[in-house]
Amino acid sequence: MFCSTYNKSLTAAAASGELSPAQREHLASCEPCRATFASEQSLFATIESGLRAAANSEVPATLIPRVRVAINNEPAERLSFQKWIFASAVVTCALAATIILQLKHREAPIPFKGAVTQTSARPAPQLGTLRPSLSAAAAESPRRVNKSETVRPSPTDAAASITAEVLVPDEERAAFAKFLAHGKGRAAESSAAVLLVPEAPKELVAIPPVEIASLKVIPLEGGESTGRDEF
Amino acid sequence: MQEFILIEPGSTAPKLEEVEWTREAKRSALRSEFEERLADSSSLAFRVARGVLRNDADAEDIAQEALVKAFRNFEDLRERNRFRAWLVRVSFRLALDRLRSSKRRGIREAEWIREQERTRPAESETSHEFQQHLERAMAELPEKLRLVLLLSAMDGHTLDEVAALLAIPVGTVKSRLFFARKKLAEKLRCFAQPTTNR
Repeated sequence: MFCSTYNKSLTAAAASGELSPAQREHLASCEPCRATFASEQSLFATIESGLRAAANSEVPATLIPRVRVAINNEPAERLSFQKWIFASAVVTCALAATIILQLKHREAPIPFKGAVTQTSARPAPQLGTLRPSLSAAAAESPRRVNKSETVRPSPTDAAASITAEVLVPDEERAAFAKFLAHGKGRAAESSAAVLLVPEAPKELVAIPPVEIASLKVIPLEGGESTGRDEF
Repeated sequence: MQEFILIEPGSTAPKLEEVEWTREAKRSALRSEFEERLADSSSLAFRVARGVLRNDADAEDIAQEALVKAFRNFEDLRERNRFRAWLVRVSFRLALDRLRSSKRRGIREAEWIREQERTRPAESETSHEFQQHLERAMAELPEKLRLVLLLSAMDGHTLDEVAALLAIPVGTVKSRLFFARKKLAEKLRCFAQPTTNR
């Protein structure tokens, strides 16, 4: 056992193998400490040699040839592995695309009914605003159309869809029918396609003033709460 | 890996054979460089794994796995020190993973004891026993301390070399080594004999 003063420092010195001058002096003068220090050093030396034996074990001669064989087999294995990864990625992408497309198809409600009603209620319809009817739009394309989207009529478009609703002022209806017929010479169909725009109510709606038949005002009594204290 | 060839404006594109030849030359240069590293560092991988697993067969498997991984990443690990540091880390990690697979653990321990008894008949019973206690005590050390202890005992590595292998300061290596030795001494004091100094 070390002297109590040098116990910690000499144990540490035995572990690290470094002695300070003061410790050397003490060891030279103290026999029990010298003996304990020697036994500690012996323990650490045994540990050290055991560690070296454990850490420097003989490497098997088969290791390097095994690694070489594994490396030679490597490219083919990796290639096939990469092929599988690529194939699975392609299949996943295709599936994802299909699902997204189907979802888009389902969530495409075309709000034309409201739009048509709104347009017909307007007092002065704009020239050339072509809005296909609901059934025509649904049959024609799954594309979602904006409420505010304006489609310029081309002769071919107009001729192709006779169910389209076109809002044209009265004085320009004949000219518009001609314009529609310009493409294929189907004047009769075109003029039938141009409908009268229903007249919008021009005068304001009169609202009668609100009348309260009987209103009784009752003052609060002294004991009742005003509502302030409650909150 | 996809390769790109830089063609200067005005010059013609290299022929397919030339491209193949260049690629082949590059591959063989890489392979011969790796062979050098393999001869130089395979023992390091094996010994790190052996220090953790205490079993030659498992350590060989782990060393092979680590070296094949090193080959896959060899373009980034061409520098010797970098390669060895990487190899130590990967071997140690793989060996720990293998050790943790609890199913094989019991079998391995039994095999190891049998193997030790077979291969060391000449050794004195006391030193053999002490070695077993030492290896068990090492296995109980924290990973960081264990690796420093193993590397410093391996191939006569200096503190600087251990620090470079683990990419940590020399001071840290010193302190870890100190604590590791101290812990081992605490555990092995009762098993050591005063005359065992070699």
